[in-house]
Amino acid sequence: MATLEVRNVSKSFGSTKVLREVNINVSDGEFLVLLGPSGCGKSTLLNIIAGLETLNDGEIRIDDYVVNNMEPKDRNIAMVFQSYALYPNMSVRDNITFGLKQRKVSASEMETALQHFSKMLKVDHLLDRKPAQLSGGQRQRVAMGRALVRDPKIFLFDEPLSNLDAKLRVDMRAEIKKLHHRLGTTIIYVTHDQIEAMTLGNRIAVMKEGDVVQLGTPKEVYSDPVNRYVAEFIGSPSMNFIPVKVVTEAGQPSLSLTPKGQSAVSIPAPGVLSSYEGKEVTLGLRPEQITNLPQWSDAVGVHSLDIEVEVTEPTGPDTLVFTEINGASVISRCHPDNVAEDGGVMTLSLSMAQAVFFDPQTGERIR
Amino acid sequence: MSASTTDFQALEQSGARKRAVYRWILYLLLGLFAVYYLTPLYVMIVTSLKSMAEIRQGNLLMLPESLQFDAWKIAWSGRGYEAGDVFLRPFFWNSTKMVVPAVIISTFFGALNGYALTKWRFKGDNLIFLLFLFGCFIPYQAILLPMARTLGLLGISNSVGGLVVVHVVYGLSFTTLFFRNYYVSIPNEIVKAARIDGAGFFKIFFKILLPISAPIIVVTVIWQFTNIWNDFLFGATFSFGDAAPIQVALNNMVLTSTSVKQYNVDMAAAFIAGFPTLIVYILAGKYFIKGLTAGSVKG
Repeated sequence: MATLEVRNVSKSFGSTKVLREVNINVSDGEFLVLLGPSGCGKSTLLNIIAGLETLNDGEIRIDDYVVNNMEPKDRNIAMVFQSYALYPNMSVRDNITFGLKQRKVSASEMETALQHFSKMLKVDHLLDRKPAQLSGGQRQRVAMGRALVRDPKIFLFDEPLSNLDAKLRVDMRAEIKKLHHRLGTTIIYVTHDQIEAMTLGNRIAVMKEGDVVQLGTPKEVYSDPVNRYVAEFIGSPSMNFIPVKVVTEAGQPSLSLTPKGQSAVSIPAPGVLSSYEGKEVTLGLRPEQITNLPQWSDAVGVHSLDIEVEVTEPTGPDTLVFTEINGASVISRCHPDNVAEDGGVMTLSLSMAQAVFFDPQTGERIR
Repeated sequence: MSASTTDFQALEQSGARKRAVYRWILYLLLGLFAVYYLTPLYVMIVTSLKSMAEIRQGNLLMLPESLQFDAWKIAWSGRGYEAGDVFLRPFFWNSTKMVVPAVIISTFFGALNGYALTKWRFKGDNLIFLLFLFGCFIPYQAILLPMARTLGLLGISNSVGGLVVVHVVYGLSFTTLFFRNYYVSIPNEIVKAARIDGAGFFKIFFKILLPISAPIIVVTVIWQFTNIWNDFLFGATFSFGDAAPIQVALNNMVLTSTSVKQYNVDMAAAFIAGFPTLIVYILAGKYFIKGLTAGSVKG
């Protein structure tokens, strides 16, 4: 149980800046996810927090103590790695207790902790096996056991689920979340998978090229992204980006939309676009904000338009409809009933109340 | 329909025939090469088991009329009465006393170097590795004079200990290269995990890295053993008389025979001198190939 503070941390390898003045506060018991594509500096930041990597500038504080130069073993942290990083020559038992042995914990205490956590993680029947004799999921459990058994102040997870197959990943994701509820420990979790980030984190730090672009709750980064990068990175399928011109029609600022195979229609533009009249902006709409649900059609801020369907992808609960608006490809998440055939025409409702707008040049959000 | 069926059958049969023919050609060629390669060894062994009279009148490839082990006895422990008699036994032990510590020390430090160079990166580590690599390309002849001077200054010239130092220093480049390439393929995360668990530099080396290094240790030991055991140049340069290793003694023995060339004794002696490397290959050869390819495939 501990707080963590990352203050103005910068790091470069040679002339490449990996982290630029990163600031993050993590409160006690919080689950923070560092999210970003590979090369955005998230793993470097995690290694710096762990003490495996030095920083060039700034401070790392654990429980308000500066730990910049403290050895990893003295920071009272534990880490779970993508490759599990189990010691191949040791049995599961020795893997889990290795850290305790280094700390000269008494044999009886060690055994109690070993039994407790190996039962919790359902690896108690595997204690005498070598890592090579375990499946991917079992290895990951052992790696987590090795971290848990030390009872650290902070857990660091470095893409722990990336090497697992899809089904196991979903199971383990739920287990990590349960574990966090149960133990209430502070967790820093690195991933490039936005679904993991959304499902696990209390807060998400979206990173790009060494910067934290947005730090907020999953709901905030999803529905209130600060720029196009965050909007594009979070959500699957990704948000639709439609170039639109803000025109004046009957004295009102309006948006001109040309659905595929149809003529242009105008819909009223929201107030935030008042200074963009005559200019082009990027309209951002999530796939579920373009849909065929009938109860939507007369709701406030919803505009219906007929559109030609390119192809459809039934996923079961939803059918994804691929089409174009203003020449940009658009994905819509529809109810499987009442979806047109490929090449047919159907009516889609656009929920403009949740629409977001970006400056096409800078990619910044227009607020 | 029936016509095409017979066509397919014909194709299938000719395919099977071709395959069998190619197999036979392959085995024939392999067999020929094997015979060609093993003939000298065969000649060595049969000659060593013949008497001198038989060698003089007989054919090189003929089997001995009766097995005579006298030549082996003479090669190993001498004739027992001649003054200035050279035989291999004491020099065999010289070589053993040289090769065992030299192999152990150079392998150990190679492992330690490889570990430090891959898992504890530091400023200039690549340059240092480059220098090690450079060491692999320095020919034996180039270091003879400076090494002789160094051994003199250290006061260990003409001793088995001196030869151990020479072989350790010369072999270190190779052993470091081997271990470095092996450890590069082992995920750094294992070392990171151990550091967080509280293990230090040497603990990680001895408890985690070394126990999984068996394949590369075998490769290094075979490589070093063969090179050091078979070395003639360093032995001839830095030692003489009683301190010489077996290869130097073999040379002396063959060249200093007083009267007639004792081919059977020479052959037996040559075989004895080559025997330990042969044994090492037979015992560990399987692991040698495994170890050479172990690093290239990620687990």
